[in-house]
Amino acid sequence: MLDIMIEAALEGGKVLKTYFRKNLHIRSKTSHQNIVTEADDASQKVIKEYITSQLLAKGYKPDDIGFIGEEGLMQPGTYTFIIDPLDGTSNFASGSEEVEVLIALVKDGEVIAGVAYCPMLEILYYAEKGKGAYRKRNGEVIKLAVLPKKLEEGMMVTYMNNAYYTEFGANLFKPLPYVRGVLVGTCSYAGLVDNVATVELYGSTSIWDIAAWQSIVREAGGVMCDWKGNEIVYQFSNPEQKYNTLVCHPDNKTLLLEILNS
Amino acid sequence: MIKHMLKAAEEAGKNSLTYFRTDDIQTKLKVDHQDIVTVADVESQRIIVDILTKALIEDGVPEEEIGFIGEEQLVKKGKHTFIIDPIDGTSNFATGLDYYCVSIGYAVDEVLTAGVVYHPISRTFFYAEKGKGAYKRVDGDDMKLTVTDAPLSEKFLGTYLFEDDDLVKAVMTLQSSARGMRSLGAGALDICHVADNLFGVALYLYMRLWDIAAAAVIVTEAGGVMYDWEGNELVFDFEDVNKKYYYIASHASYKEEVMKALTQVKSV
Repeated sequence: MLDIMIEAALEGGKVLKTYFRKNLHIRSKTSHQNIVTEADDASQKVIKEYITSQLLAKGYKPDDIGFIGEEGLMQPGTYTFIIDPLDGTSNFASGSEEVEVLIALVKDGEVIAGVAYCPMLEILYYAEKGKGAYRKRNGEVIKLAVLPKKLEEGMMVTYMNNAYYTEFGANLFKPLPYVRGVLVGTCSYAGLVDNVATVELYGSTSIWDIAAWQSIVREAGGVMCDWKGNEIVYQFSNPEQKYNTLVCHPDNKTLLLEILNS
Repeated sequence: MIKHMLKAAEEAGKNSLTYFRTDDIQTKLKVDHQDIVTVADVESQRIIVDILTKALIEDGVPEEEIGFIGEEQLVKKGKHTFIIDPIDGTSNFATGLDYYCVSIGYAVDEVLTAGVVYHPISRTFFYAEKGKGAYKRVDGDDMKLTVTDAPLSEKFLGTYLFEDDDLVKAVMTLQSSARGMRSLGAGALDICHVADNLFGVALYLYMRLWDIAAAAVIVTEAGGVMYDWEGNELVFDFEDVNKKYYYIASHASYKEEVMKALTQVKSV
């Protein structure tokens, strides 16, 4: 199943490349800070079609195959693929290469595999439950392991826009004095598994933003929890549900929760 | 002059890449864990100084006329002064993040006349000479840079966030008009991204001469403007090299909106 997810992500990335730095039709979802383009739609379409055709060819029944996708995709199934066909649409629309295709696989209510592909940078992250997490870059595959660094030895990665600031205010910046610096707007959770970030903190994320990375982070030895330290519990029937996530090495979790909740 | 600066930036960038993501970078604290230096900063600065000194002497410039102001404890006065940040974004570099650059500005009689900013990992140059326009060079191809006045809602606000109430307030006020806010950790590159229209506004504080000299030439030659938090033209002080600058780089058409936001912050 992981092979199919990887190929699907590569197919999605291939589509994105054809739209990159071209004239895009940009639509506002809720504001100029929450946009979608035809590249998002085209990538999701090709990912869904690829996964469906591959699984049908392997003998799975249509009812087995489910999807939850950012661009209005909701189809129940025994195996549910959670898709963000273009994570970082604002970056993409502005010509920044910091974008990714995300695909997670859920079975029996549990995320069991995840793929994150950064098509412009040609970096692929993937993981399968119990089999470790890996990164492929420049043809080289390495096993990922989140190192037990002190907070001050790495960066904090977060995201901030008008809606988040209204909701969370300065809370998102609480760990800032403890880290080497802060990054906003890079490829989501890659920072932790690359050992660039010692903490990643996001508010109001959706299931398609985090499910794939949850698998990769966990298999690399990191933790992803909510801002109270609890495990993320997905509401698969409600794709609009929002999640606040904290990602770090397990050794830093207690301190970060103290900082966050101070 | 620009060819010497391009060469120096490229060689310094090559040197930094030999240390990048290795255990040999020997990170040291300058002030605290948010202000660090590596062996690559020091070596790259020396490479730049050596290349430029040799090139200018070969061009017939007397050595005593060649001056340098560099981030790594370098001040030498001269008619021809190079302002060097050998690694702008050292925290990123030391952490394994490739968003860092080499920055070299050039001033004659304390007037900035040229600038080169080099992003080693993508081998991308941004460069400009006064009166000759600004350019981006990728794989040997030069593209002219022109700052557009497209709506701010189609561009990002670039900054470097840290714990400072005024900065956070200013950023949060301004970013609502932009497509979003980006904090990536290398100020000179951020200003170049204003010239390249990824960022509509770059807003910073506590920056030093070596952080901005090169990029200031680039963004102004691309048709942008740089001003301080009071809206005044930036005046560079070559005597007080530790002077801190609060600046904004943008298209002139955004200035009114930027100043309105900053005024709101100050009045709170």
